[in-house]
Amino acid sequence: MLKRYFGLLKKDIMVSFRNYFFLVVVGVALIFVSIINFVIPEDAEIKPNVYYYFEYEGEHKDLLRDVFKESEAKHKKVTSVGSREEILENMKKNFNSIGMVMGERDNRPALEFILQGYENQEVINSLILSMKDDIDARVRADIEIDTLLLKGEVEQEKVPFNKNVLPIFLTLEPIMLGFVMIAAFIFMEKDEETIKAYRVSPGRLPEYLASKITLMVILGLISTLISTALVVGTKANYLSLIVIVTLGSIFASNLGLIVASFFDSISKSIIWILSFNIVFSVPFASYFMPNFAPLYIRILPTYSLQFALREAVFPTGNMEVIYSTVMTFIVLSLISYGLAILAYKRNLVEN
Amino acid sequence: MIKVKNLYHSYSNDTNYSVEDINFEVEKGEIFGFLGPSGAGKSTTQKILIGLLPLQKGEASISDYNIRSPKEELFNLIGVSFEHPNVYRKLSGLENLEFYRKMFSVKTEDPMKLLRMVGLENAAKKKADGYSKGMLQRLVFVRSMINNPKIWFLDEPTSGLDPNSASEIKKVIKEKNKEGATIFLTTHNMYIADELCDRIAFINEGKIELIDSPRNLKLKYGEKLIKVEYKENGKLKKESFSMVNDKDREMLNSLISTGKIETMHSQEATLEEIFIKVTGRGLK
Repeated sequence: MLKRYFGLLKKDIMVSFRNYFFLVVVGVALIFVSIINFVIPEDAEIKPNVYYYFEYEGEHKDLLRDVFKESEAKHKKVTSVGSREEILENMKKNFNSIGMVMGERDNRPALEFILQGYENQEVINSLILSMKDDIDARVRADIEIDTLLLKGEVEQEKVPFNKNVLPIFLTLEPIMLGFVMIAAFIFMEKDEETIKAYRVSPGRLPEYLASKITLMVILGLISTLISTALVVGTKANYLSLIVIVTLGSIFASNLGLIVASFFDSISKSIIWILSFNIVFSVPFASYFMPNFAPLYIRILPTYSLQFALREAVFPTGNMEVIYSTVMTFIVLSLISYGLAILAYKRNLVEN
Repeated sequence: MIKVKNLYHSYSNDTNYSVEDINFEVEKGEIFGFLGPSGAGKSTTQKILIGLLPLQKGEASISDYNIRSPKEELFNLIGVSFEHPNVYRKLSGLENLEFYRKMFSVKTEDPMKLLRMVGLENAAKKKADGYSKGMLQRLVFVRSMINNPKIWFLDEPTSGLDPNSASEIKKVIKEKNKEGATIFLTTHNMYIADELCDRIAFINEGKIELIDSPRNLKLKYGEKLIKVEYKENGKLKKESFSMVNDKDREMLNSLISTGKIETMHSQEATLEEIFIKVTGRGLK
């Protein structure tokens, strides 16, 4: 049985290599790495330029000036100007900008915001809140606030926006592409009718399918290791990453095998292949907007998979998400492998 | 070695049978031919026997293995040469055979020896993509020999081959048979059936019309003729005389007595003529 499995695997690797599968996988990984490292910005937040004029001369003058100076030091886009007119002039030149005038009203400090008029209400609200927070913190500086941090020993770095896209690629390329590739591979063998020759040999279906799945795992891991190493270097938890991608590839390959078993050619099955890919891509929305996670998204396997991959690529110590995803995918892989064998027995052999 | 009893098969799972009430037995060491036109049910019967189609109704066994639930051991015993050259096009001829031999758990043949046997030794390392139809056919043929099959299924083994290659293939089939292999040959080629088979089954519209040896079929259904070339008034004439027709016999005797005959050959009916006589249709 093992001799047959390794014989099949060697043949599948040779055939896929000569059909440029390896080249495609490596090429796509390198293109994606280039996009992440050189095209997608590290910071994708579109923050407006802020021009401020400080005209307040009251008792809190020093304190409030410090707030603005601190903001100016922290954010490159915050600039001090000499007059209200200068703010308006700058805002006319730069449509993605707002203005602030720190003045006085009824002997109390008053902050005036000058807006272009088309700003998103959420942006305005967050800006007001942020300024209020900064000023409050200054005013109540004498109040001691203690913050207790759970897992205080973990020093969490903010993940740049471009690198944060990597887990999505790792879900898409090694896992979802494996789903398409294995179907393409099966259709090639159906076209050559080589599976008929295999069927009249002592080789059995479980070995035949296992070899194809192993090939997809190998391709998936090559893609994963190349892209992860070139994007985050040694920071990733590679052991977890390999386990997750292996299980994800097995599951996706099984799905690809099941779909391919029902059709004669890739053109007849393409609508199903695309549909599966679209459905399994829906959870990507939750990746960027974690608050958006309705039940129909959470039940899709790619939902937990992408977060487990993120944890493996940018470890924070939250191993629970990895363990639960691994367990889920072990079960899903076993079930889908059994279904793939049944589908092949029924669709490929009997019909 | 092969036993088939009341075999039926319907692709539409109803009573529209592609093969219907098929019964035959193939003895050990025999070359058994399944002769019939396209769509007669030859391939369906073979596909059921080799496990590519399920056994829906009836009984069939190969070397006492029930083919309803074929065991792995059965596939170590059989070899199948397909009409369609179903090889891995991205692998060379040698790689195809090297791969296939790993599927068996019995002693296998040396792939290079097999390739040499059918004149493919120089193309052994060339990708099958670049093989001609005849080369692919020869590759499929030798692939079916890799496990030294005891029961060998051959589907149109000389289809698409030039006369020399076809002759080589027939020679190999005869040699394997001499070594003890039982051969199940499906073909619509009456000449190869006539030349190789110990017994032939005529299959038409899913039913076996008759089973017998080529010699018996010719004796039973063929009309014995004598083909004669003779000179009359200085001109060469050709004529066939029936050996069972009194008038023809008299004319032939008179030609012999006058010494006008230049050549004389006995002629038997071909299997195709017999097939037409039995089934009312040709083998094409």
